[in-house]
Amino acid sequence: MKKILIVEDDQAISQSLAIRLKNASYEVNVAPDALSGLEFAMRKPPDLILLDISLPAGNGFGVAERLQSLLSTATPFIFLTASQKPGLRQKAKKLGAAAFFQKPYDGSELLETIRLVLAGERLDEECQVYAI
Amino acid sequence: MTETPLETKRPTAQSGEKAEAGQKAMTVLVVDDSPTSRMSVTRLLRDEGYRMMIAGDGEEALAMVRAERPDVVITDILMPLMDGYEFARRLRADPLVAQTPIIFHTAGYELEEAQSLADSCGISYVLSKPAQREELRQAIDAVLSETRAPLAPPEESFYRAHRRLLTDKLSEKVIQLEAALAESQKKEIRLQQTIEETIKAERALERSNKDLLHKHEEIQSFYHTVSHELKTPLTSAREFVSIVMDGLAGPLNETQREYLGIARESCNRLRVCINDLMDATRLETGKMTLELQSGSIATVVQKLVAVLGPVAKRKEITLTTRVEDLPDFPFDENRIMQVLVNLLNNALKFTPDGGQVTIAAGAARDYPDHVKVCVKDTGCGLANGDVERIFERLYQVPNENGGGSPGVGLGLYISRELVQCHGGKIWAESELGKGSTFCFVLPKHHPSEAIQVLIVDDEERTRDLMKRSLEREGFQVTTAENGAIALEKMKQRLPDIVITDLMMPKMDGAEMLKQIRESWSLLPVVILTGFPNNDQIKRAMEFSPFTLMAKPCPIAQLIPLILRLSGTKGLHK
Repeated sequence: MKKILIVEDDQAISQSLAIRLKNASYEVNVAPDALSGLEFAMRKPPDLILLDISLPAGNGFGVAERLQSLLSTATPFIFLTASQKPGLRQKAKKLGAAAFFQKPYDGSELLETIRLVLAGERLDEECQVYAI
Repeated sequence: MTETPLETKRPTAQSGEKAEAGQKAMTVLVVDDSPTSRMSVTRLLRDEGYRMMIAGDGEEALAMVRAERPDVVITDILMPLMDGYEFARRLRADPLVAQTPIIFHTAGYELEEAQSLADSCGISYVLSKPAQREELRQAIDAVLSETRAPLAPPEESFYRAHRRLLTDKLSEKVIQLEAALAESQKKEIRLQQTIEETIKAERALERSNKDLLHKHEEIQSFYHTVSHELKTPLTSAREFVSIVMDGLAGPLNETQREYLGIARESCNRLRVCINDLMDATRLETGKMTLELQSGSIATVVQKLVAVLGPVAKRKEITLTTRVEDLPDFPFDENRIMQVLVNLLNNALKFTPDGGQVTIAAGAARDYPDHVKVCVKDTGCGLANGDVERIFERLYQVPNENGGGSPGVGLGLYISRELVQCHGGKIWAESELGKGSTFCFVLPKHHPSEAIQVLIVDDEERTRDLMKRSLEREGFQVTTAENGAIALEKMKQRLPDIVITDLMMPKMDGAEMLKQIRESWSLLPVVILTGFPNNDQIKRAMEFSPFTLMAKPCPIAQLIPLILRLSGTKGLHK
């Protein structure tokens, strides 16, 4: 069973994500802030990480950067954000994110993207969802 | 100590009043510590034909009387070293000169006492300062005709009166001095206050500058917070509805599924609304930023079809794309995608089931060096009046029932502004009942390249900084340090946009704007000001349009604003 770590401070969002992912037969863990996300990932390296960008005790970019240098194997990560600050998407791309979703995202599209990333398929540009 | 200098200017005396010709000129000694007073008396009497001598105090005067034997002495009373009384007493006590007539010439306030003391000193004439020519002449004549009895040594009472008079005069002087001192201290305090006020004003300006910058950052962060706070609960609301709809919480009956479908659609509409409101706010406050990167329109169209293809399929609309091979060019992919999603969404919304929608992209024939993208539908079309107004903010095409179609009415407005931010143009062609075509063109080159910007600011640093930043972005920039120079430059070569400060020497921003409007009624003008001054802004208002921005304005915000305002440059047919 593939392990997915959700780092998200909004409990309603992380819960809805967890329901979907568990239903799709993933093992799901939730961390509500940057620090516990980092700790959890170190203790029990996941196969994929869903990262909110604005987080208590740090931010999603910081978590991604730290994990890339700390974990022995490259772990794919997908950013989810409600922020529209300019440059976020570019920064995510630079960090090597597998995908970038603007909230509110479409749950089934997110699920499909996760499936493709875990299957090791390279995402075509079209698969990166845009805010409509 | 000096007497209050008072000079009386009078015309020169007539010749008839002068001392007789041939007669030996009388010698008059004027004793006064005030040069002004001395000079005034001397001048008057010299005109009358007298020979004049002067002394600054009693001691000097005594020496001069002994040496020169003047015919008359006119003396002030209060003088340093030796005062008038002492001088008169000493003179009277010296048998060689005791008979010399003396006239007291003294300030009015001490006249009464002076008279009584003068009597004790054998002085019959006391003149009030400043004495007129006639008074002086009469006094001289009078004292010359007098015969004087030898002066008895002064009585005890004289000394008492003399001392009292001197003390009184002294204290009066002290009071005057103190008053003068207090006055100068007041002046110094006022000066100090002015300096402090100036420093305070400078600090206030600095503070207000910082405040503006801070406000600017606050507004930015407020947008982000509002956007974040609206979207986060919407995300989970929509997700939970979807989870239930997808059967993850147990089986659903048809009615439940239908109702949840409505709820999810409402979430979708809310999402569009939030995004539109945030974008409109950004555009209106000049806070829209573009991320221009070289990209391909064909890729954007592909993504567009991937996103909205399913919607077309649901309505059984044939979605066709015709995309020419085009070189990459700089544009903000997300923003152009947003424009296209909006145009295609509208096309799909207004085209009946089974209709046709075509997306075409290629080189623009009418606009050299531009790429043209069109979305054509076989929908209900637009009336002429609507075609003209469709891009206006909040404008909604009224439907048959008289109400508007769902949405805030911002989509096309935002699309137009975004295209203009790129230096492009958007328009619609339509025939009622047959369908509509929405087209836009984008410049292939960096949109700033062809744009002439004139920066008007009296601060050299600001001018240079803006010039360098804008030139780095490819704009062609000229500068001027005040309105007058700017107008000269504009007459030589008209820029596409003027960015000006308000407060400037020689000709300020408002006056320049007035003169600009006399010749060029629609030239885009941006007023950048650090310290908004109501009067100047009010004055400028009479010569609108202009866009008001707070200084310092981040260059990332200025660029889309310049592009948008000067955007349709060269694109007007």
